[in-house]
Amino acid sequence: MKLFDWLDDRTGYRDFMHEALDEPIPGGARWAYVWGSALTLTLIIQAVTGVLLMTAYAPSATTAWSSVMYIQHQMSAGWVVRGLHHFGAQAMVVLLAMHLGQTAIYGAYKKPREMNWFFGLGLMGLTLGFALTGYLLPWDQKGYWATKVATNIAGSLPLIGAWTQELLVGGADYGHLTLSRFYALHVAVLPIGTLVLLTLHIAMFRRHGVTPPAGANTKHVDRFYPKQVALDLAIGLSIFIILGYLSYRFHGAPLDGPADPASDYPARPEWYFLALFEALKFVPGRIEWVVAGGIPLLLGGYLVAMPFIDRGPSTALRPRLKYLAPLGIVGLLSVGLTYSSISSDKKDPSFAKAIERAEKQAARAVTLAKRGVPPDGPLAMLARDPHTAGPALFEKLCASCHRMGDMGPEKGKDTAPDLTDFGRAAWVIRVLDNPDDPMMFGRTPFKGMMPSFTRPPADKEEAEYFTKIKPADQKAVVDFLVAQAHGKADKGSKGEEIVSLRCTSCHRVDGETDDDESLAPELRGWASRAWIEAQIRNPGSGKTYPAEAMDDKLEGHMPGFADQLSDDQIKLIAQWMSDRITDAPK
Amino acid sequence: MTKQESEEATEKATDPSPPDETPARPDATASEPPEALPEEPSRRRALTTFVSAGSAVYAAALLLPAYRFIDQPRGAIGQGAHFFRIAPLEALPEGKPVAFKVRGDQQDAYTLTRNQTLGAVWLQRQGQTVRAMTAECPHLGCAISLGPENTGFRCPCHTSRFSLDGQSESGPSPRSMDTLDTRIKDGWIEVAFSRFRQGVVTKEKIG
Ligand code: HEM
Ligand code: FES
Repeated sequence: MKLFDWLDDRTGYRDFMHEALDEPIPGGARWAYVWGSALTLTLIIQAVTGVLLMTAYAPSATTAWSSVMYIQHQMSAGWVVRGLHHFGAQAMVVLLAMHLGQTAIYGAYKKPREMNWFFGLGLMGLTLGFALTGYLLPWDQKGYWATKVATNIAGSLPLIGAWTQELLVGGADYGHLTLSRFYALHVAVLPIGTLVLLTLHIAMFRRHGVTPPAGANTKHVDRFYPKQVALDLAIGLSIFIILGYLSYRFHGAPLDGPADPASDYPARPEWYFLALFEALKFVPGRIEWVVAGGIPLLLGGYLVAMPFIDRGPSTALRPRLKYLAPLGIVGLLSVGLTYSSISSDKKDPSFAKAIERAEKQAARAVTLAKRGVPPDGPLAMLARDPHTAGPALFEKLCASCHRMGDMGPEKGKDTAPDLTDFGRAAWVIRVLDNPDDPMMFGRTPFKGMMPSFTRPPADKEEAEYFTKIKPADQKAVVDFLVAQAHGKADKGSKGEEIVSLRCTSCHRVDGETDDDESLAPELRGWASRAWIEAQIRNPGSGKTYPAEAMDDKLEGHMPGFADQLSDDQIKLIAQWMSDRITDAPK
Repeated sequence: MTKQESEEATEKATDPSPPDETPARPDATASEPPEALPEEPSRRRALTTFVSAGSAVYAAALLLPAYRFIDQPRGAIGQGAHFFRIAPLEALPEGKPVAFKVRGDQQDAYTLTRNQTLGAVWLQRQGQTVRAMTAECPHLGCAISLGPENTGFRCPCHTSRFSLDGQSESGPSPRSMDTLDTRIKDGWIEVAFSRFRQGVVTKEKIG
């Protein structure tokens, strides 16, 4: 081909290709040599998917999470690209261990390949840097808290701690600048550093060639192409298939809820840092840096020193075992610590509960975000969501007395009605049957104030006058009250008639009652959004209970929350409880 | 691996002599100069085929999702015939074109901003009906303004001129001004606002 002849004449590319492809491999091509190439191929996947992610990702505290959510859930092929990048990052770490292990076992660090070994160690540092900085970028709970722990440890280093931390974080606290700095490291500094070191690493490799295992028949020589290339590609393709499968299986990569500095999140690093994380549990906080900084430093130092410690020319394994032993011990220890960290979390029910709650929040955040995130960001979006803010406020303020679902005190330790079925038929049926049930008013100052409508009173004389409520009437009353909870007046119904006749001897309906001194609450609009709102703001306003129900002598009545909660917050709780009652779509 | 390269390599295979220069190795293997053993041609062919096909598959598996990711389907503002409420019918004088801002919720990728200015329209009342034209010039998208003494529309960028009913009169604009569907609801003028491709003869909706 004329064109290629021309090109060769001007560039000499054919010689270059020959040199590259015909590199002799004394001792022959081997599977053992594939790991470096596999790392390079995976790095290509990282670079391509990384640049693609850059085209959609927006590094700021208000947009990072939303943009990753958009990539993950709304862009076409977004989950594929993100999944490949996420699992590719984990593959890099695994491949790094394989590559390091292979070269260490084969004695490839020995003279004259010391520089090659050092460049490799540098590349390892950069790759871990990629992993560490990338983890923060989605600005989700997991990445935020894990990275915060990491930079706080950096901050506890003696002398340079405060300076390092401030440099990384871009100020005193996590925010826009933290993200921008990590982003700059992740997409510019580390890639350029990697490119430089990788070029040097490969140049050194070209200069010295592979280190065949001791005793290999070095008379047998393969060329790099095609046999070794074929082996390398076979591994590269297998890794790609695994990454593709994992991305498909998990539909991309996990995305936690948006980072919330005010939350309590069980921070865990990515699995490859778990060993270090677990090791931290064994030291007091003050000297954490000794472990978190010291162990990696010691390990790195030993790796750097290896060519100088193990100086003999022999690459036979036996006599070198003592030099490899520290690596083996650290490896085994890491596996052990990782296992112990995972199993201690598995055994911890409060961790499982925290994770379950975090997953629920994440799912809710994504549901809302798909409708569009407001310009003030995903946290503001969640703060305005009744189904997120409601239960959170309930947990904080109401759950010291009330139970609802799995929130609140242990069963039997609650001192106010169980609100699980509040506003629903089951609740009304129970209160008609036994108002003093421990789940109802049995542990409140209102115990004994309301009679049962299905069981005769204990007092013999009173029991004579008792007539059990007819099933049809009971159903009408239940229907009427459930209608109230749904915000309907249900005027003129049979239920309203019965309630006005039988319940107003104590209760109020539209403010009317036969007994002004009774403490029984208003039944019009009972358990509706407005009723709940009024009850939270001030139970004694007359809109729910009369003022006397708030009397100090009635020890243990419900307090008003107007002082502790803003009007918006009260509305959020009421909206959430009301939606729960009416099964409104979220 | 290009075809050329694999041909080169095959050529090499038929030549069993060792490469012209073997880098000097100061290591243990240096004392016995290695000798390249030629591979069986059929085995070699299988390997080169695998390498060529394998790298093609590898590249394709990476580039196909990459293309899908870059070429996202365009999001639409207002999703089709979405009518925006502009002004009360009474507010519009008979005949004379008046410009109005179109305000609505703006969905920009993941961010939803309420009540933003999405664009501008020229409205012209004719009795109980209203003609609406987008203020975006069909040429390259500058904002069209009303000429002096209401004689017609003109674009400040490349001097396209349009008649009062939006017909192209002179200048580079490839087509007349783009009209928009309107309706009157509860006494308010509502306009189906959307964007159109610029610089082409036919009116083509793009969002
Ligand atoms: C060489 C070029 C690279 C570029 C341009 C790049 C770019 C990016 C971008 C834009 C993100 C944010 C999007 C997201 O979180 O989904 C990201 C995330 C991430 N990157 Fe990279 N990256 C590169 C290489 C690497 C490498 C080599 C590693 C691993 C060792 C890595 C590990 C990560 C991790 C762990 C995340 C978080 C991903 C997740 O949330 O699942 N990146 N990267
Ligand atoms: S943009 Fe209007 S004439 Fe060119």
